[in-house]
Amino acid sequence: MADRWHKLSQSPTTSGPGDGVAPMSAADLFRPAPEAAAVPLDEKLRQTYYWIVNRAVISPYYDVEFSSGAPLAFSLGDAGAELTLPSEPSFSSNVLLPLLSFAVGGRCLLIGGPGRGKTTVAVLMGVLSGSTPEDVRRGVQQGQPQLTISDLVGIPLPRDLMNASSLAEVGVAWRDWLSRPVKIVDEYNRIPTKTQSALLTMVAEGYVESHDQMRRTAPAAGVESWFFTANDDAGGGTFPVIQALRDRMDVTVPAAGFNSRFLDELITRVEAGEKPEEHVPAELVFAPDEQTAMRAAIRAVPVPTEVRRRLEFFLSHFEFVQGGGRRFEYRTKDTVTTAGGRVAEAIEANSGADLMADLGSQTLNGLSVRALQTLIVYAKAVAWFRGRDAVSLADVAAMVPFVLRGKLLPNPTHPRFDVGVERELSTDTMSWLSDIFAESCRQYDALGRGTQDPVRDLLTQVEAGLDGVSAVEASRRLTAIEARLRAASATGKLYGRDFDDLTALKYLHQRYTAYLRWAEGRA
Amino acid sequence: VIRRPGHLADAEPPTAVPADVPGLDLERAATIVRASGGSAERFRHAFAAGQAHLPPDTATDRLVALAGVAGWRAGVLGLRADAFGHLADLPRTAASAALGLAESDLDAFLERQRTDRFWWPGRTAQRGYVCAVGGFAGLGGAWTAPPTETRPLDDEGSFAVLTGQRWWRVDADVWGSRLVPLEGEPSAVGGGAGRAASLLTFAESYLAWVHVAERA
Repeated sequence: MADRWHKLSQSPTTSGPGDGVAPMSAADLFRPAPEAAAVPLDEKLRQTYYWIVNRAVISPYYDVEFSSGAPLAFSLGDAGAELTLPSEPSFSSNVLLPLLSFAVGGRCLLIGGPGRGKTTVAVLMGVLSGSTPEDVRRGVQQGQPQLTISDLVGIPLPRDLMNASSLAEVGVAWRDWLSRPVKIVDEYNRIPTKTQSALLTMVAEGYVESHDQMRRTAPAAGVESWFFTANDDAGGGTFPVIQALRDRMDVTVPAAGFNSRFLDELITRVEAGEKPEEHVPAELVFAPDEQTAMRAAIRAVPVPTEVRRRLEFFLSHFEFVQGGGRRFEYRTKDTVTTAGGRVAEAIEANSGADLMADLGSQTLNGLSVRALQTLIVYAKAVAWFRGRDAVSLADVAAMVPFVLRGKLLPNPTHPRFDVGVERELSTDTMSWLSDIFAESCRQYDALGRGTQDPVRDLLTQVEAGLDGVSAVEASRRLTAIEARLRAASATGKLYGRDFDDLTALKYLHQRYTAYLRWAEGRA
Repeated sequence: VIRRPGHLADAEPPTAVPADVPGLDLERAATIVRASGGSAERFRHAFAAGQAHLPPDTATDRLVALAGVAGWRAGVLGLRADAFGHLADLPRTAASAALGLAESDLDAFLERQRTDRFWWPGRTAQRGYVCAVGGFAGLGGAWTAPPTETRPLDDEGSFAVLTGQRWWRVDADVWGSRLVPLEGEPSAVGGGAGRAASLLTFAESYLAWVHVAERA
């Protein structure tokens, strides 16, 4: 009987734009299949993706969409529902994001109700890293209220405890899962707070400590990925997840429900008693050096200037809040939060700006540097996965909801979540995050920032260096900076997107005044 | 009737299955034909038709040549030049059967094909239409918007076509076609001057048709 599991994509899983038809000969029709090692790593990862969605996980959801031009859209029902048909290969997030996390060595939180295949996907990632299905399953850490640090990391050897005269002499029997390339923690919101802190050290620092002994958790090849599961990410579970650990989740992926039209396949599996992780084709397993090479290739994908500018603009919206402080630099959401204040109230008190146009007013916090770094890495990963030479805006847009979920928090008192047709966004965080990124890009275009960006021009001038800049030229640039500030002052309104520009102008002013003082002193 | 992309020369459905040939993996060849843009079923049909006119002890080299001709007939554009070279190595009966032509049409076909890659004996009866490409994505085609603008490209048998906001490259001949999305609007255009073949679009149709203006 044919092995129904062992079927890989025979043809390339993505096609690049070609120049013409390459000539072939009749002998080419009988060429043997290329060796598995000859398959480029990105093609291998795509083959892995298609194997998982076609064979292993029943997931007919294509929510990570890519289209050239506007996709074909159908309005459905009477509540504004719309189904779109993307024109380019699109993907299932609950398979793609874990796979990208495996590729970049990231930390993926899978959320959703019980029985939605979260652990199955995580176990598949473990098998892809070269471990046997039994080892991976044995290594899954089951979160439960009695889980101690010793349960998690290992115990000191009783013999040493009896004989040692100092902690340094106590050997620790470390748990085997600690050095696996793929680590899985099930129901992490049921783990006691103290044990969560030990987990945080492992996740954040890559080592674990017990009885003055330390053990690195990264495998020899250096690439380790973490998969956590939880039934929700809104504070449910036996213990609240400590914020620092929650922040370490690079991406949050909701598990999809089961599509009833695929019941036949489910019945076939029940009858055969088969588990997908026991049937992963050997060709799809990534050796340690392949994982290292894959991560290096992903990091090398360039981010073009146009994409950087839009990302920079998007980031600029969220830190500022008009009534957050008195001194200009302290008018931030962080100032309010660290003082125990309520950001929503500070936003509401701002009567000067249009709350619908000010994207920053929709969030309770700003974006952290860590979140931004993660967004860049995952945008590179999806561009590489799609066979692209550089990161496009579509790649960034596709990753925004998964990276920023749980990191960019919605302001529930904003009018957008309160009234009208968009109330569903108060529960659909993913769509809201996609929407604010799209809106940021629309504002970028409307403001003509792609063609006219005076603050960027001034920054470029200073990045070129001040060597040889005359005192007269420095004074001229100072005047230009003050003119920009005067123009901003004249508008009477202040948005989050202006905050970074204005602080950057102050920085430039400091650089030029210091230089001018030095130049005049030397003269 | 919903029109779907395809070649008008492919009116006869592919049904024949070739006999096994020791030392030749015909299933692998069919897989490569499909991966190269052709039809595996039509490859098997064309090979079986030619094989029926060859003696059982035919040398492997000749059978490989027949596979090349069958692959071209099945729509693999890259095999066109190679197949032309091999047609002379095959008995006329086998060559014409593999191409699905009457033996009496073979000479005319080879002669006309040297200057007109879209010619086959039934073209005049089809008023010069050769094949339809594209089609609505919802019905298994390639496009989500109808084609609106076409232009010839420098290579023989190649065109650019605009659907929605996206440009595509079309390569075609009498037996096969290939569609590739382009990164942007094609720049170097002008090689099509004086060519009889053109790519036609029709209002409210998702198909683009290759048409050759027949000589009077």
